[in-house]
Amino acid sequence: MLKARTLAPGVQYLKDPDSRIRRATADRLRETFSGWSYQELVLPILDYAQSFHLALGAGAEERMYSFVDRDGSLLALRPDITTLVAKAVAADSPANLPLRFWYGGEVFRYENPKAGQQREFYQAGIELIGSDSLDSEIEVLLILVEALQRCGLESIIIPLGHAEFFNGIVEALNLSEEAGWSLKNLVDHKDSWGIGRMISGLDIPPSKRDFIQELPRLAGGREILDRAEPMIQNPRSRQALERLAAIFEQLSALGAAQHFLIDLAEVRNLDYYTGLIFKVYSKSLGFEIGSGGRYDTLIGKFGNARPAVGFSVGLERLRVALSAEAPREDAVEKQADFQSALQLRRQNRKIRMEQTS
Amino acid sequence: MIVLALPRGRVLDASVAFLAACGMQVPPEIHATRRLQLESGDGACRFILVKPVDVPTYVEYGVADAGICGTDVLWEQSPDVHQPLDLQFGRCRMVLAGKPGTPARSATRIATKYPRTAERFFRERGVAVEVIPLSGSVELAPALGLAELIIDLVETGNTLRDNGLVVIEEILQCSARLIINRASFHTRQQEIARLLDSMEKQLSW
Repeated sequence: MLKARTLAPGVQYLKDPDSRIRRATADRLRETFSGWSYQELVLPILDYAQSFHLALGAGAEERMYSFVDRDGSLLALRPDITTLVAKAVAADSPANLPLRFWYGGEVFRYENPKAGQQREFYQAGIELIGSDSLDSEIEVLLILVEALQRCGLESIIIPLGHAEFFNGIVEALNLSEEAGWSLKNLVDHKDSWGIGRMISGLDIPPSKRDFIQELPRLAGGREILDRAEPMIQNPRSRQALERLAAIFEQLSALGAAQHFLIDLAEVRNLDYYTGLIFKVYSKSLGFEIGSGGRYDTLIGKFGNARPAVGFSVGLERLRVALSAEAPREDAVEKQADFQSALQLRRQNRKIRMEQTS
Repeated sequence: MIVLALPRGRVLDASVAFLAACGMQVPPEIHATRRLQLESGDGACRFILVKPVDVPTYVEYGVADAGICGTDVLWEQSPDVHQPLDLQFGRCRMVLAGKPGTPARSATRIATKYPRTAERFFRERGVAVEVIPLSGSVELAPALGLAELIIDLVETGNTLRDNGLVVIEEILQCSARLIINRASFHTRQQEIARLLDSMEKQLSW
């Protein structure tokens, strides 16, 4: 078949200088992660499809490369690495918490290639497991900023949201499951007009109407928290606002606030995230470079429950956003005979053999 | 400076009139020119003129920060973009049409510029149809026997009538929507907020 000569859809050959840029970027991330005492966790490239269903929820199967094992069980190439970290730590009962892990590797998602990201792409990230403290969130955000800065990314924009803000609103409005789902979909698209149409058909007091109408516009700087505060009565949403305010306060005190925004209308993956949610953008790219947040219920699905917070960054996206020049190569000494080549190699010098063909 | 993608053709005049009403300094030569990129008088905005079906692509990739495109295009393509406002112009209907009395049964052939919408519409009704994608003159298909039914946009209904077709069912009310790139929404937060404010004020629903 001619397919033997054709590149399969969704994968790529990464050649120099792109491969060298990606390697250098991965090195900068690893240096940052180990600089904060995160340990590398190497995870399997495939697992039971069931694990990913459990973690990622309905709809995950459409985005997975799954196949049948010889014993008939359904396996999948990993569409996500956090799931595997959660599964790996759920079995242990470590004496000392929190645990700090970093990982880097290929993930596979059946999606259309966009912004340098094929169906096979490279993610690196960290997970801080066993703490639900404010400090654990600050730590993860500071590491994210440092890692991207070390890679040379100039514009770093990280909108912060909170899963409980929206959950609290849906609960307080006493919406049906279907109405809650519709509202979430509209908020996800920041569809003010659609929300206006939806709530005109619902039995909601006028005072709350204005606020729901306002939801998609609750994105911007720190001032958004103050704008939202008087509109919110339910305790879940209020706690979410207080938490975000505390995070912002600490980031300001540390001189890092300039990279952060607020987006209270961030509602993606609310089955997965339980608290802080964030995305990473840069002015140089129209797509998100990374994302993360707090996921306190995920590990419990696999065994011992433990709170956790983390993020992942897509290296292809990061490479496109950096549009970086390849790192300079060390000087090369051309060698014609192996005797002197070996001598130079013992001194750790870079050589290239001049082969006569 | 933010970049705004505008659809060439049917909706361009109304789009330009709306932007001007929102206080944007749209250069008057936008209607006449062959240039596909123009800057606003105050340099706050660059307009790019593209085919209506391409607007979501430019915006999703962030080449344009925002754009104006029809509900029909959004339904067909489901781009991953924000869609905050209905701009209340460019109204039309997407309809299922055919010769009078044509039933929609299994194996019926449907000619359309909206193959994904057609597929979804019939599957939701449990009917397996054959969708024939065309890029224009869709109204010809029933007369020539290429398809029994069509799915297409209707403004006045004249074209349908001239080709001996009637509306069998309305699928969607269409109008112009504002769409915004997900990254630009944050990375150009203040400019986007100003744009939304001026448009909301103009629409004042």
